[in-house]
Amino acid sequence: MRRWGIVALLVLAPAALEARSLVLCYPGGGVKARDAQPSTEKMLRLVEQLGGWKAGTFEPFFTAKADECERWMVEKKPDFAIVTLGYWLDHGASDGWEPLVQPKVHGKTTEVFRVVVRKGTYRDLEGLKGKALGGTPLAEPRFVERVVFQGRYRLSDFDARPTQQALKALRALHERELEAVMVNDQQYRSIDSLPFGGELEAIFQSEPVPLMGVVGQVQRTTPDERKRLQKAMQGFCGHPDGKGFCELFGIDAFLPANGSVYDAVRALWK
Amino acid sequence: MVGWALVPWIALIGIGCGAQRVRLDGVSECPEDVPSRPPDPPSYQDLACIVVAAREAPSLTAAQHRVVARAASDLAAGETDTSRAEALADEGLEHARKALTQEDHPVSHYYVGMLWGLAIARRPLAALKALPSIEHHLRLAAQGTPDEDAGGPLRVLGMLYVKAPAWPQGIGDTDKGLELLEQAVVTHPEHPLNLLFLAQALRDNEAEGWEQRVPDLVRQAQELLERRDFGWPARRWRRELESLAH
Repeated sequence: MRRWGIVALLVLAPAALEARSLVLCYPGGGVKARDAQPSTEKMLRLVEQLGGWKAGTFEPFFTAKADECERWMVEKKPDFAIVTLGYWLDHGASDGWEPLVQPKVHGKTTEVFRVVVRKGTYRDLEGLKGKALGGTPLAEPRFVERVVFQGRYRLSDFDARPTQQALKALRALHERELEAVMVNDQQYRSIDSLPFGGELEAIFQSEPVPLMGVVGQVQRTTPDERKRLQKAMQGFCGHPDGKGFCELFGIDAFLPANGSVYDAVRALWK
Repeated sequence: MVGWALVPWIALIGIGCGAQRVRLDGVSECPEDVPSRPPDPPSYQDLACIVVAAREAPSLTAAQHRVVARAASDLAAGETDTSRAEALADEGLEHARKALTQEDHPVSHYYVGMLWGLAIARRPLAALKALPSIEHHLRLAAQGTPDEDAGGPLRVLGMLYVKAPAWPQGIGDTDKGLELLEQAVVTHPEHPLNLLFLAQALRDNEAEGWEQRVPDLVRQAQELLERRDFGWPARRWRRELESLAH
C-alpha cells in the first residue's frame, strides 16, 4: 500500500511541479512593466497558495505594450493569461483560450465606454467626424470599432490619437488639443476629481461590455488545472492578503466566467 | 479591456513585509550626543553613530530628530540589502514624525514624505493608501523649502508622480513629475541625484529625446561624483548610473 503511494507520487510529481507561465497584458494602461513585474509575482504567490501549487510554479510576464503582448502570446506559449477583451475576441476562441474568471467591480461584471467633450461643443459622434479623438481605449482600434461603436463608426472617421495615459488625454481635451476623449467606466467615474472635470460631458455611451479576466490555454493546461486556478481566484478576495486589494479597487469578487457571457460581443466581432 | 479594473489592481498588489531595527556593525568611538546638523560629507561611520546615539538618547530636540531622520535616510540610500534599507527608512520615519510633532517645519515634512515612501516601497497596498499623505508632505516641503538637500523636495515629489500608479488608480502624473525633475536639475545641477532621477524618468517613460539626453545626464552626474565626495549614499548612485549607462 505504502509502495503504491510512493509510485503514485513519483508518477504525479512531474506534473505537479511543472512550471506554469502567465502573460499579463495591459496595453494603454499607464503601468510600467518594470514597476508591475514584482507585484505581479507577489500576486501569483498568493494564487499558488490558494490553488495548492508549489511556490514559484508560475512565471509571470507583464507588458503594457499591445505589440509585445501579441508577440509574447505566441513566443512564450503561456498556459494562462490576463488579456483584454479585444485580444480574446481577436485570438481567443481560435487559439484555445478559455475564460476562467471575470471580476465583479462595483457590483457589475460589465463596463460602459463613453466619449466626452468640452461642454456644449458637440452633441453626437456625427458632429465629431474628422475631429481629434484621444483616449486609452483607442490602443485597440478593432475593439472600439466593432464592440464599442458596434460597427456604426470607424476610427478613420475621426482623427484618432491613442493615448498611453487617460489624464494626459483629458488634459489635452481641456487645453483644446483634442476635441474628444474616449474613457472607460473607471476613468469616467473619476472625472469629477479633476479640476476641469465639471467642464466636460459625455455625448456617447456604449452598451454594457462584459469584463474580461483570466483565461486558460486548453491545449497546454488540464481541465483540473484550469479549475484550480478558477477556484484560487474565487477565493482571492476572501483571503486576508487579497481582501485589502479587492476592497481598495472596488472588486467585489471574481466569478467563474461563463462562456455565454461573451456571446453578444462575439457576435459583434464577426 | 483597457478599462478593466483587474490589471492595474494586479500591477499594484503586494503582500506586507515587516520591519525590524537594523544592526549597525563596524561602528566604534561614537560621540554620545546627536548633533543638530547633518554631517557633510556623510560617511558610514558618522551616519551610523548618529542612529546609534539616537537609540540611546532619552529625548531629542526637533532639530536632532531631523538629523537622525536624515542619517537613517542616507544609510538606507547606501544600503544594498533592501530589507535593511526599508528598516532604516522606518526608523528614520519615526524620527521625522517626532520632529514634526514638536515643530511644524517644512524640512520635517520632506523627511516624512521621503522616508515614508522608502519604507513602504515594497508594500504596494500600504503605499497606495499612503500616496495622498506622502504627496501632501512633499508638497508642503516643496513650497516651504524647495532648496533643502539641493532640490530634494522637488526631486522626490517629481519621482513620486512619475512612479505612482497613473490616474485614476493613483496620483501618478508623468508630465507633472518630469516637470518637477527638470526644475530640480535647473535649480540644482550640482547634485548628482537630480541628474540621475531625471535620466531614469526620461528613460522609463521613453520621453521625447531620451536617447540623447540620458547619456548626457549620466555623464554629468558621474563627473560630479568624481569632483566631490558625496559620502555613503553615493555608493548606490554610482551603481545606478552605471546600469543606466549600459
